[in-house]
Amino acid sequence: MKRIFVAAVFAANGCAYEALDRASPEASAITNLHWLIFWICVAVWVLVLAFLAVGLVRRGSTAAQDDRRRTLVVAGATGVSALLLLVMLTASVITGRAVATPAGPGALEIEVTGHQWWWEIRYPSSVSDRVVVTANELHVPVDRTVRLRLATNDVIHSLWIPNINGKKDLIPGRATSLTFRPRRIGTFGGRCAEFCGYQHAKMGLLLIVQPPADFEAWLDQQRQPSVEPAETALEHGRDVFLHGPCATCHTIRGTAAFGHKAPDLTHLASRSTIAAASLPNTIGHLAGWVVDAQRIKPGNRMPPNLLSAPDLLDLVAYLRSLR
Amino acid sequence: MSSPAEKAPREKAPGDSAEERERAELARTWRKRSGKLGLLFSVDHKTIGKRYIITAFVFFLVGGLEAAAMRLQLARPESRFLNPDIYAQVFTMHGTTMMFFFAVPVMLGIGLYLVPLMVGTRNVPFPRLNAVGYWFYLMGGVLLYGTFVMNRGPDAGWFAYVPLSGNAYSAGHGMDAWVQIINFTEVSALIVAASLIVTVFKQRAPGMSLNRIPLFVWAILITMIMVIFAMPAVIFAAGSLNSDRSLGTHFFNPAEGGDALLWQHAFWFFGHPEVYIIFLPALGMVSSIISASTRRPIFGYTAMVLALVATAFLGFGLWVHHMFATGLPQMGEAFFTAASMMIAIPTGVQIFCWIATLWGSRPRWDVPFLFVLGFFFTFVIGGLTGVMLASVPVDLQLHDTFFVVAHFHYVLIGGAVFPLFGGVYHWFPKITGRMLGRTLGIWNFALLFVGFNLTFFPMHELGFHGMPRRVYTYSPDRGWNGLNLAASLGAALMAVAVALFLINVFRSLRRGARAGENPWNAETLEWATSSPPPAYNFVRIPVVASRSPLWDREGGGFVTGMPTDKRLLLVTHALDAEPSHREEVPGPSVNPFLISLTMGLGLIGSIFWLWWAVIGAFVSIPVAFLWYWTEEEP
Amino acid sequence: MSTARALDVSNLPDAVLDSRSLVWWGTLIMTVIEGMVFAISVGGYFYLRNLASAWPPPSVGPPDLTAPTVNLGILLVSAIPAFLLDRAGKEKNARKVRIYLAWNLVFGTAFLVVRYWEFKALHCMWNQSAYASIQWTILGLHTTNLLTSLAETGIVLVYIMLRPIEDHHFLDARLDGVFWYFIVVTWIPLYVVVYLVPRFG
Repeated sequence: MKRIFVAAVFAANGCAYEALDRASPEASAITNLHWLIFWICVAVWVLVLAFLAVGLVRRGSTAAQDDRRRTLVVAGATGVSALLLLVMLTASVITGRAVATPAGPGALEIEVTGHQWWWEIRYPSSVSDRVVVTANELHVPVDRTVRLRLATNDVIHSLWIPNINGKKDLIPGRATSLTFRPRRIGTFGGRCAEFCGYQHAKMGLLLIVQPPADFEAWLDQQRQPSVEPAETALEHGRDVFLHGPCATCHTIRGTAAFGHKAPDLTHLASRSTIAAASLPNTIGHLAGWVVDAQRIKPGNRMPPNLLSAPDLLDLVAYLRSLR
Repeated sequence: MSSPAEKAPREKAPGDSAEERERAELARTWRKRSGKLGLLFSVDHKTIGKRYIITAFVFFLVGGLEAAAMRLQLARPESRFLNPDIYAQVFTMHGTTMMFFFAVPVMLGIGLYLVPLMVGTRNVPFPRLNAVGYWFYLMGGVLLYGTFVMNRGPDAGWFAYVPLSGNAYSAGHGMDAWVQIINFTEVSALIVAASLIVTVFKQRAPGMSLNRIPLFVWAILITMIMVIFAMPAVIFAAGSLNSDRSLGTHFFNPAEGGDALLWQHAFWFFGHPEVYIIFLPALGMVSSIISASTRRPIFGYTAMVLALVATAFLGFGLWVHHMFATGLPQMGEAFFTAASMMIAIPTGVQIFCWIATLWGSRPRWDVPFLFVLGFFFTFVIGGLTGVMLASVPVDLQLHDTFFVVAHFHYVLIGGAVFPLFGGVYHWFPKITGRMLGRTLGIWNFALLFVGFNLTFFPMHELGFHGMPRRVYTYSPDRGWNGLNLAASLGAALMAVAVALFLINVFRSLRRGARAGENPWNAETLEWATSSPPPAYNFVRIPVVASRSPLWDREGGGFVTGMPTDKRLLLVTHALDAEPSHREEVPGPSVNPFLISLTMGLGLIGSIFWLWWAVIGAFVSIPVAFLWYWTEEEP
Repeated sequence: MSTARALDVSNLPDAVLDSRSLVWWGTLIMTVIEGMVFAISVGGYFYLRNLASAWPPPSVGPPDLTAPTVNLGILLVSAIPAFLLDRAGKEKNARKVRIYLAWNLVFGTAFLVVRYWEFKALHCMWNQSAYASIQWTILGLHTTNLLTSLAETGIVLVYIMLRPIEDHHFLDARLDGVFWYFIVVTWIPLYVVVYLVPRFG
């Protein structure tokens, strides 16, 4: 019955019905709980309105025996309500326990730091040159518990990837975490879910769940320093990057660019989106972003850069070479 | 039209000319200051109540325009109607206006107007202080909109979470102004609360023991007690934010031992009771309208009162449900889930008792009753989505999405604004002496009902689809387009409904059918005097012997022996309303206005230079002295 | 039609000087509001203390006890003129009311003066840490209540020195005393929270 309903709504809307399109046991547990509570609530609403409707059209008296009957009905209805609430409370607490089981020692730990208005992603390692830093894209292997360690140094954000779990706030001065175990390979959208300033609306990220081998390959690739430019045009593009304001905020490992206020661009071309998952990573979008990010995301921290056409083309070509 | 008002024969005084003399003397004793300047002197609870109501409705309209702007912006993806800076100011202003400047003050105003009438007294106990409350409220509104029209309005949401609302991320005077308006509105609410609590406990008509108080008065009394306990929390929160911003304290700075969550705890400890402060008076209105429409007293009086008390009490134990995503310990979360679900029980009791009252009653289908039916339909949905959100795992998916926007508009508009409109249609005849038009009223209701559901029902689904709150735009490929467009169309319909309401009000003020004392044949004391009531409310203070004094006059009567040459209130004992003594209250004065100016300007000035607050306080001392000096002047 | 009952209240007093009065109830409600503000502030205090690894922060050290304890003594003694003021009002003794209002003002001012050293005893400025912020806030709130009470006492005293005293002024004098009880009673737990908890808690 539930599946028919969900499928019907799917069909009606024609796209991912995210929170109910579960890709992890946590999301599944939440969805099941949700349907239980939902149907109880629908039943209660229908009953209350039905009683109201019948009561409005009936002709009745106010005699004393009716009063006693009324008292019993009201008391009974209250009792039934209390019972239903108890059922929902119990189900809720049980699900809460199930969803919040601790990660355990074999979990993959990833550090996510929220910034105004992008996500810094870091895969820690005890060996310093095996640390991976990227932005706005989370890669994880399928069927392994992942524990995201959440932090922020500016304002409160909230990480929300509906397909895999509920949300968790990132709070300055406090450490929070979000644990999940993805069961399905695919790409899932996430976003910030706590108002954090001008570009809260466009602070998204992607979660990419991969087969374990692909994931390891990706990690290895991300560990490499940036690709050296293979042609003069790309070299020129790198020069534009290093001699312009870009290096004050961005890092490209393997070059002199070591800014920490903006996303790490070392492997920018390996990501499918830019601007915190709000634009596809194509030449046109990238060029537009570089030239006038304010027009695309007004109020964000990236200033406009009026470059000459050759400079812009070479810069974009260089950035697109950073696989 | 309503059935012809049944007028029970009036008590015959020994010689009508004696009564005329009494009226004349009362009118002279309780007269107000004349002229335009006299407006600054008013201390009549009905005048001040009307001011609160009208001012609140003006803010409702402005808040509605802000909502319209948001819906225009969100009607299409990637719209450029409002940029993110203005959008953030608009949604902050919408929330702040609706919560602080419309919803609470309108309930305060209706309570101020009706409660003294319903308990059978002539004015509130501290009439001049009451005037201060209104001026403070007005000044707060002027301050808020002053900053907004200069494009320097607050922009961190009505809930102003730190650190976003702190100095580092919201420099400039917008947030400073926001913090100050909290002071203005909360002082105003506390003043009304103190006035009405004392009115209800000490000024009831003889014979109106506690178990004979109208349910509306119970609702207001309990609400006012909630105000007393909830406002201090927002005083602490806003005061701490103010001092963090302007004095360099570290309440919310984790680097020096502070905590961002302290703000959330303090704010929501106030914020959750705040919505019940808005909601409980509406429940009182529903009781009044249902009993008038069904010509029956509400079933289960004691259960209804206990349900109101339980709701108020439990309302203070829910605040953490706004913080489920912040990573609090699970045991704590379970407690707040239980409390948040439990509060549905007393509300349920009320709904069941109302249905029991209606059962078989063949009610009169007047416009106020239609709004009550709209309340049933919409509020129950809102309450049930609240139960859904009370569950932590479900909340973690739906928190901060449009599902929550749908939920709270269903409970606030469904649960408070629909009864409010019903209340306006119900009491407009008493306040103005004219009936509101019925046909226009039916259209008003129908368009508001359809428009409201069209606007907010799709938002439930938008939440499931993953659309977060407080976003100035969205991308076209998310699948949110159709639902947003539907919501915006619904908003347009709501705007038309409100326009019809305004037309109805203005037309009826001029040409509405004249209302007698009791056009609805209702049961409570406000209907026992003329429409509108004279300045002194009643020629003779009534004596009651039943819960429905106008239906059940056996044992009732009136008070004699009260001098009419001074502004005297009859004070009765708190529990059984036996007469205790007579107490004089002051008459019109400009000092309340003056002291509101000195203190208010001091607070406003402190936004720019801290010492203005101290100067304001010092300058207020001679004004306070002048006030005390002139207390006896009639 | 029912016979209406006429209830004659012409023998009721026109002014009362005790808890039956409306102004008495109003004052009581105000003390509840202020008390709630204190309670929430103390809640904030313990919240911040719970988060802190050391309370007070190691660089600050616990507050001195000399000035605060002296001032606590002054405050407790000041309850005596407040009580006498209360009684004088109840007895409608104009001369005593004037005297005890003046004494109330003297004690209140002394308390206010020593309060300066109570602030100093904290060894920190409000903008140095969350600990300092909440300590200054609690002290500051109580001091604001104190100032309001002094202003009120001053206003009533000046008035009854200049004009004939009437019944409701006796009530105002009593309420002045009652509000002073509030100042005294709230300070006792606040003294413990501000000065003893950082040292012994």
